[in-house]
Amino acid sequence: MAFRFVDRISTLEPGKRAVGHFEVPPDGPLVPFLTAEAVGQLAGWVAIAARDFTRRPVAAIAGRASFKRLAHAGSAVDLEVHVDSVDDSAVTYSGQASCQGETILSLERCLGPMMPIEEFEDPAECRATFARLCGEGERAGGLEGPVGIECSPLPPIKEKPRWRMALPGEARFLADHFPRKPVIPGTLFLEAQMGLAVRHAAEVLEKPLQDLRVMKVQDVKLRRFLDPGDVVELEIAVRSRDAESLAVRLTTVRDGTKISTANAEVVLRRRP
Amino acid sequence: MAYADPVAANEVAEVYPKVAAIIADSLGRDVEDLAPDKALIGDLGAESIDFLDIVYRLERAFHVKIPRGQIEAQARGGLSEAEFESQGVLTAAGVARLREFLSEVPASRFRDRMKLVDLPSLFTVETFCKIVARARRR
Repeated sequence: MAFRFVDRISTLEPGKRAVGHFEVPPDGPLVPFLTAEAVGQLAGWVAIAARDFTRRPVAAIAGRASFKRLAHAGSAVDLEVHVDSVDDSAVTYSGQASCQGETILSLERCLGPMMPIEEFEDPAECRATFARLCGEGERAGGLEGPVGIECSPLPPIKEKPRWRMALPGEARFLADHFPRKPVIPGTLFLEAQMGLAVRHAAEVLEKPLQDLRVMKVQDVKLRRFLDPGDVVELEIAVRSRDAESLAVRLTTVRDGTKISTANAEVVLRRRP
Repeated sequence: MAYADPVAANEVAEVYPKVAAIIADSLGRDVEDLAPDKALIGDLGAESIDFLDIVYRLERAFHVKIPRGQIEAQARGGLSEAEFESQGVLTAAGVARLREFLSEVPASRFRDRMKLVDLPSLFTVETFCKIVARARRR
């Protein structure tokens, strides 16, 4: 499995709620947006099953993602989602991820447009995978292979830093995302953007990079699919700041067309 | 025949500030950019994903349910599907009914043989106020 983040679904209230589990592979922690991916994939399973494997959601909108801490390598992550509504046009949900009872991430006011499933994957295989997840489960494995998003600085415009982001043309994770229509996962794209937001915060706040982290991201909107090999431009605009935090607006554009927007808050890490 | 479920001006006025703030926030615009007669697509640059976002935000803010496709169903009123549209194109009776239902939309924006998929291009900020006002009655 090259991009799967749910090992087992232990509780399912059809169309309403689910509890799932994921064991983080031993080769590194689960980065924030891949923890969000895990929650989103669980919500995706609820939505797909609710529409009897005819439609599937794609990531588009997150009202707020709050990040408490990383899930360590090898740790067990418990996932829970509550679906507000699901029909043939969209699924709306909230959810959280926790480790040993401690919430490490929460997602609020998420929305995914529902698309014809056969455009993305084999519905029969999807149904069989869901049955296994709801039974014994299977090792999902998380992200396989390098992400491969290359970022390089561009000249600022009106003092706003800009970056060129070159997305990989080939990557192992594209085998799962999706088998019939490979697209760059929005969560990987956002994770790369957050890395650049933290770098910018380090410059503005004059703090060491390792002392900063993204605490929350709001009003995420992914407007278009990102194809393998796409090149986009990211612009970072400062919305507010104080001595220990920086709020920024992240906007990406491809060939003059807006691809995504998000507001992020970067803060100083708390000392243990 | 007058549309059976009109929305009074005071109902629109009551919800307008909150609806405008939600639309502005969703589209990343200043609320001062908005006015009741602004078309979401033509004037404010909204796309299909924004419509889903705006409806979801309105549902949460006003504690109402706005089922997708409701506008088309409401606009059809007493007309059957065949009377309203044929193969995705509005009939003359369908366009007439739509003009009555979307009374806030300038008449010049309605065209003969309009496609059903182009319906959202008619929607203004006031259209969403009326959607919310109707949903609050239920």
